[in-house]
Amino acid sequence: MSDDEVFDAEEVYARASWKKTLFTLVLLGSVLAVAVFATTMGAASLGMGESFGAVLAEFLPVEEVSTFAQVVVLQLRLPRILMAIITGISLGVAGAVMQGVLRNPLVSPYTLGLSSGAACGAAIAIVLGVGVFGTGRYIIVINAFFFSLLTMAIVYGISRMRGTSVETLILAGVAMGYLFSAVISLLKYVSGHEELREIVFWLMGGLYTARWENVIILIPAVLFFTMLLMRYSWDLNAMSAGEEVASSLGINVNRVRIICLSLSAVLTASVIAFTGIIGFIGLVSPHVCRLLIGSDHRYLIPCSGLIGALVLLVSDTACRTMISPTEIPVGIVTSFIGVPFFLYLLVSRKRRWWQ
Amino acid sequence: MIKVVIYVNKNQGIIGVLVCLCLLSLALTGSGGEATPSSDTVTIVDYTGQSVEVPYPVDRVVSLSSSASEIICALGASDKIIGRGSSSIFPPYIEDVPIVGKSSYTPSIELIIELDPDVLIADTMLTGDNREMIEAAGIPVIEESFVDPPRVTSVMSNLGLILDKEERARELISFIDQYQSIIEERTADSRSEDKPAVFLERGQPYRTASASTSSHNCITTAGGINIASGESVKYPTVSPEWVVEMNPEIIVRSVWATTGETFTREDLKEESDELLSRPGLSEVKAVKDGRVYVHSSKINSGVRSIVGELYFAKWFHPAVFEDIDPEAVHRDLVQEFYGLELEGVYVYP
Amino acid sequence: MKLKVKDLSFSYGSANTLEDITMELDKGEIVSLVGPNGAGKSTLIKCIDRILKPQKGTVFVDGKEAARLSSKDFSKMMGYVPQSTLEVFPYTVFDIVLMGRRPHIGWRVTSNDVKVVARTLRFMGIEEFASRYFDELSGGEKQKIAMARALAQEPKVLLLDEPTSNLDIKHQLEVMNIVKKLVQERKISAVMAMHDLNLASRFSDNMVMLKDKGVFTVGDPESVLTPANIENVYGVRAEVRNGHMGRPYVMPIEPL
Repeated sequence: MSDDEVFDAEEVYARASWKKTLFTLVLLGSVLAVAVFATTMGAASLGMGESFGAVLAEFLPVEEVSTFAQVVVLQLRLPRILMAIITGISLGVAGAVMQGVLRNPLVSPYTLGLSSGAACGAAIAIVLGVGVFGTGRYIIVINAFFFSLLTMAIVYGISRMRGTSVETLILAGVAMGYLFSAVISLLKYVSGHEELREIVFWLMGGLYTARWENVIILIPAVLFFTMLLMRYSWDLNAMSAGEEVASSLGINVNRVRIICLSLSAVLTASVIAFTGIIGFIGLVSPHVCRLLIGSDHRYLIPCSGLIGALVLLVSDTACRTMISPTEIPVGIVTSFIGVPFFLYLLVSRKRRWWQ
Repeated sequence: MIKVVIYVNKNQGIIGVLVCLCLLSLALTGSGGEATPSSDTVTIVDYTGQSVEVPYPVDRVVSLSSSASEIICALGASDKIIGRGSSSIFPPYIEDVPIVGKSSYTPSIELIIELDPDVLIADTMLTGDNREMIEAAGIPVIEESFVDPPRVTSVMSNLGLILDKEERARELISFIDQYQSIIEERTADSRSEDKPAVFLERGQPYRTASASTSSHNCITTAGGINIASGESVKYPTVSPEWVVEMNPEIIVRSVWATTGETFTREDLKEESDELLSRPGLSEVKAVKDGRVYVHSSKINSGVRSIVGELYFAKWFHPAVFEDIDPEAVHRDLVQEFYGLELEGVYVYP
Repeated sequence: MKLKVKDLSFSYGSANTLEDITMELDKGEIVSLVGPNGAGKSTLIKCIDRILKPQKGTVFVDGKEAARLSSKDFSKMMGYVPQSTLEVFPYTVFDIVLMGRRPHIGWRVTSNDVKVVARTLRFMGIEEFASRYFDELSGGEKQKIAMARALAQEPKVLLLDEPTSNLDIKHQLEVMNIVKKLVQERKISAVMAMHDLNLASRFSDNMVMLKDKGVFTVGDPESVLTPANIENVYGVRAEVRNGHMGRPYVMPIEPL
């Protein structure tokens, strides 16, 4: 055998890597394209030219644009589009990382009780904050954030008592989830039915609360946490072969696990505190990516984030425009658009994907 | 002797009330009505169209509906309520009455049967199964709707009848009717171009109400145009940009109040500030003109809904209703029918 | 590379227990750990590789105390091949072997890393699988890939936990031949936990026989695999014959 074959391998690897890089770039391009398209879509009757004009007028001394167009596009549509993108990224990234850390394809960012913790926090704010919605909005956000991290900490604490096996973590998470759901049900039951409606609304999730001041904080936070998590890509790759192998590859499994779980939890909690529980994306985005480019976390993490952003952005745009001006809760649309797409991928691939 | 009372309601024709009062005068022996079981009964037709026969006069009532409780108390029969749904919180003294469930949807059948009232009054959230169970225990059930004003009027006279408070019921109805007709008369001749476009928000941001809801009727009666009347969803959440485009002249925000607590001016101001701070709304006419109103949902239901109606009318047509002071009407109402001083703040500004 | 285990004790629950294990391994040597189920073969392998933390005792690598090395440096010295490999998510064979480069790379994969992986695949005779997905492969192929990953670490000592237990006889021999070739060509050492006494006998330079959480006897296959030792440790009456290449061949007769 000649040395040529060795160099051939290098080329094969380079080509495979380039394919994945290209896929990432295509995804990024698609997200941007849909975002641009989405700025022209909405309940208000604005032409494409007017919509773009409103955006351009911010940066260039172009022709006059109506205040109406500026208000609609700059104050209402753009923050919402950005919110959809960063929420999708957060959930997709957190889903990919959590599945990797817990080595389980059924895991979502919510598995360790995050969503029910957040919902419980929100419910407490809604019910005990008695209808005062003005400050209530931030009470809900802060409560939801705090409670979801608290739940995560409790779940991790419980599983520590049993040596932090993945199974204990997941089971403790699921159990805590039930407990918090019970608290929510109790709050729903004892509170007035109008407050109940507000909790239900929060549980369905939505991007209608998007505001520049929130988006401006969330964008750097989400990008920062995503970058931090991507630094653990190699460790996550190794951990998918099992804790023992990872450990023999020089990885401090427990440390990486707690860091990755905490970072994903913060990432998830910081967006769902604003949006409510948006399901499906965190579970399915990583799988869609695995079907298309495999499981290497160096590519999986950013691609899963971008798929999440794409699905959520398309869904939210649809939910804004399908029977406008009435908006359909985004969770409904996400499932209607995402599930057939996912099932198609699942069935059309011959390989067995998850053991 | 049989007395038949027929109410003719201009909206509903001859439904509402068909009352057969069967007074067997022979039974009135006067030798102690408690010893001999009274055979006096009265039959009324409830919202579901069922004829309900109840003892006359009714002495022991369980009310699962907060609106019904308000009416009964306004009729001066609060002492006859022996059980209530936990959502019945007005007037405040009703909170001494034992709770027999949360609402009409979740009654405690056991407690109700144990109390053995002469009649149970519920709203339309009562399920068929529960109604059957309660009736099977020998307790007559009146299922009522408290959504639109004409029906509420007939419920008032029905309740006045069975509670033997007919005079008081007439007073209550005429109190409400006098303001109702003021609103109707004064808005009747306003042309549609004089009617302001109104965006009504209920609880959640941008959640509004389409036609066929009581909120919509309230806007229409007060001489406004509900911009969301054409939506297919009953209580839709609408796009903010659509509200900006529709450019309503008036925004009304209902804040849900489900406990006995009343709002302070600060509470309602916070609600108003939150609404005004929302992106994009600064361009809306209502905001520019300072015609954004926040009110407590307490003046939108039950006996007090006439107060809400008056506020709406005054907000929509300030010149036409200049002489009307809804707050004074509100004060009169609670004073005259509940013997209470008006407390708390209900509207902002 | 010399490996020395001194007074190592470990306990967790009741199943995995070791008491005062002492053993040594020379450069270019294959040592088999044998003994009945529960004697602690796998536990010892994991303790040597710092996957489990022994309560007492020391592992020396080339005279240096293993516990004092950084986990990265340590993982460049020792490669671990688990008893069975389960990949939950889809990876290509190349990616899995590339994971073995983890101790050597930061974020970017260098051309050297790719060359090491390619050479390892060729050495194992599995280069044609490089771009296939792991779950499409047979048990024997998977075992080779797990070994390739450990080799990509470029370790001085290879630790194998029952490398042949799930394989057919052809793959058993192939895997053992690879281990032998590695030790000869690359001058590394190998420690294997073994169930199959005859494979162990045939491929090991030395054997450590474990019984009741401790070392029962140490030596070359001839001195360890005697009917008396087997009876004592396994509770089985056995005949020991002269097998392939003059190595002892154990014929179990009946349990006692």
